[in-house]
Amino acid sequence: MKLLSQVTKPARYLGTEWNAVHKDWEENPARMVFIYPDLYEVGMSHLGLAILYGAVNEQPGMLMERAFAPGPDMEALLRENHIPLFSLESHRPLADFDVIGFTLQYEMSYTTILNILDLAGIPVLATERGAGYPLIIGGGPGVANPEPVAPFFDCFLLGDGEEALPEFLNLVGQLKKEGLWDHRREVLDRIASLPGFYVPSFYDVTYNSDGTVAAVVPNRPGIPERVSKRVLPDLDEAYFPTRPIVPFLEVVHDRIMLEVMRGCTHGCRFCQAGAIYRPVRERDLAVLLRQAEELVRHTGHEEISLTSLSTADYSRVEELARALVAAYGDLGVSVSLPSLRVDAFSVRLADAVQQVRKSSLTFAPEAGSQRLRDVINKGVTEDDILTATAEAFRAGWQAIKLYFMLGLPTEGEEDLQGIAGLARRILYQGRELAPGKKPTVTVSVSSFVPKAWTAFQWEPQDQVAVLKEKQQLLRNHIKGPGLRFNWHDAEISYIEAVLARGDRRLAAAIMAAWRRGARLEGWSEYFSYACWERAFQETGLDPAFYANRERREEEVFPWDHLDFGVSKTFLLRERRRARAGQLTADCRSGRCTGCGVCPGLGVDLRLKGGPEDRAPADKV
Amino acid sequence: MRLRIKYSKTGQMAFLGHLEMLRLWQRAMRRAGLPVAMSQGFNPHPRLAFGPALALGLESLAEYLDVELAADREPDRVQVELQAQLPPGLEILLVRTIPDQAPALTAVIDVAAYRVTWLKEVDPGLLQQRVESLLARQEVLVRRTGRDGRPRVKDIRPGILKLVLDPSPDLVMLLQCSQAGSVRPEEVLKALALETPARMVRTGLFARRGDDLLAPEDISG
Ligand code: SF4
Repeated sequence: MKLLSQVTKPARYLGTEWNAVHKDWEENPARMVFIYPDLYEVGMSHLGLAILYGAVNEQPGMLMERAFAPGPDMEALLRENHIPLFSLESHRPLADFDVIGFTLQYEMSYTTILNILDLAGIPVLATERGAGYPLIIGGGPGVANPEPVAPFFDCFLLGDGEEALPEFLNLVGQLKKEGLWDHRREVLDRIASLPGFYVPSFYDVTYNSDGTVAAVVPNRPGIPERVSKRVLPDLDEAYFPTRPIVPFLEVVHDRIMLEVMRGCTHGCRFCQAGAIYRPVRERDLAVLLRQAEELVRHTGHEEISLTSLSTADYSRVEELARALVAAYGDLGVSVSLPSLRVDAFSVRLADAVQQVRKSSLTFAPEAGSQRLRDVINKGVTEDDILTATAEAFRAGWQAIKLYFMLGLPTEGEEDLQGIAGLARRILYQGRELAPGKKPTVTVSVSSFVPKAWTAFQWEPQDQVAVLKEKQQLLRNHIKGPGLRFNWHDAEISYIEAVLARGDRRLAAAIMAAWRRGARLEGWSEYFSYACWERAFQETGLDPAFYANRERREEEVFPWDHLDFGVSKTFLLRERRRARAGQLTADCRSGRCTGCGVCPGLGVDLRLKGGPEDRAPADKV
Repeated sequence: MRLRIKYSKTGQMAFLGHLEMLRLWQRAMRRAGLPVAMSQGFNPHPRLAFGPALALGLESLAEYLDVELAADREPDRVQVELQAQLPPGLEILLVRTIPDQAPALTAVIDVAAYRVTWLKEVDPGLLQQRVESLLARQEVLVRRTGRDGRPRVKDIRPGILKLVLDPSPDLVMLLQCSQAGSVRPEEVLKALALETPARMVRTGLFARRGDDLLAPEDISG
């Protein structure tokens, strides 16, 4: 309490929000704290946390509490007063828990993870943690390639967690009861036998003389050569939290998150989420309506967001949106669609649910020319884009935001000019369709980061200098009344690219960067490129080897011993098709494109059809 | 129909600011199924109105909130149902119907009462002396930051309506608290030049009618 009166936003640390669960410590012997390695406002916007928090706390014998990265002012106070970082619910030191779980949402959170362990008084390297320390587990999309952080973790969970995590905590409870918990080797052995759990210390990595990985092989008998991700075949059967925590503070996504489906079948060739969350599993309309009703009643939120990687794809999205507007509009509850496809159907949908009109509408064409959009398999034409924006202007929106990626494979100057040209055409269109108003077009560019499990995992990233030149060129071309230009820090994308496809040796650089003060790097005001430059120098690691090098087709990747279902052969085929500018259809339409997920994991697409079922090629 | 709610805000709840309270009450009312009236217009919002703001970190035994309902509800039932949707530290003290045309809380309230209890022992004699000499002053100047970010000086003496030790050594203050201007309790403590750590609680909000202080729930016009 004394600390709280000295920090900004003390509500970050209270732990008494509505629906927060305070379970009895003694009665629940398997105890885990879930950590989102960023500030409260970001972490509390994460649906995964809400799901796992509910799934675990509903089980007898186990409990899950929360912690986040403290704000810089709180960190200073904790260090000054020698107070170890604590969980929100019971305000106990993190080291009191049996298990500490981190979600790996983005590469730039890795230094924050080390900082949190350090604030908790826990050695960051797994080899330095003897019995008595909590077991450190990681999950989330970063586990697509966890190798750069492997030395900090005891184990990782691949794929869906709502069944796997309670199973794991059950085992923890059992091991504690059997008195085996302090025998770390034994414990890890038992964990490694659970499907979907990867124990990195049970695998040895060897390297070729050119620095590439030669092999990753188990160093113990009985350990699988490859670890497969966990998949829930049917989301209707899966646990879903209808009493999520309602934060006091305004958080990034301060609303009901109704997960309409998981996975995406569009197959954009740069997209990691699209690959690792396959196959698509839609929820039944009736299930969603029931969940929405409970969520409104238990949270009192004023907005329902229909979440997924591409919500307009959900087979019965229109029916669902209209039903929710009809049911809750009078209560002052609005409906929103966070991810719009670039098509007129999506715009009409957004219009129908009355998405807050004064704000802008965002589209992500990703690339500026048709040629390059075909390379990345975006599947939209300039016509689609212009039809969609025209629809938006007619419906009353005056601000359009466009997202693009710079440095995509094969990108040339025409592609960049294409971005500026498209922005201008949309602006003129707006002036024509909304006379007397002042339409604005904002172009935001990020830099392409090649990621594991994508068709572009072999591709080099542009040098930072090249990315900056491209940003400069666009800045010169996108100016004038009504046009705005935003760009992401190229250096951050560079470090992301290093870590995204890195191997275990990079752990030393992450540690060095953290020691030099790196943390909260998801916030550009805290990111320091100098920290990383020094870290690479100190450790003798070459960042360009990881970020700017084209990989050979037969190269062994640091994540080849993990299995997210999508086959390497498929990805290689997609890479070749990309180079040839060939599109690959969406498997939603019924034609399997052979990505390998369904047969490999023994699952299937779960589409819910319905009267308005529309084929994906149909742009309306 | 319009309801006036009086509640206390203690313990951890003192760390919630105005916006957080607004969100919290809106959501609690929706969970309780209260038919809160919505404003008309482009971006409709629930018709809720609070009394004067309370500084972050201060506890209060007398906060007020007006809410307009689209349908009639029994105030006693509202109190029970709404209380069930509030976190510990927020306690509804009363719910009363007020006329639709009753002036807003911020328009009627102009006095706030605070009680200071000392966390370390203080000398009551010294305290009494400090209070008397403060009250004897013609003006008490304090430094504030203006809306434009520039420092300015304000005389808070006219806004200090009462300062007594009751029961000694508790310090009770009645301070001006209105749209025309407010005196902050921590400014008074500073002017008393007391370094002793203290716990401060807002104990009442009133409307001044001549020499009388009326509670907002008793005002109907
Ligand atoms: S295996 Fe076929 S149907 Fe299944 S997700 Fe891959 S492409 Fe689609």
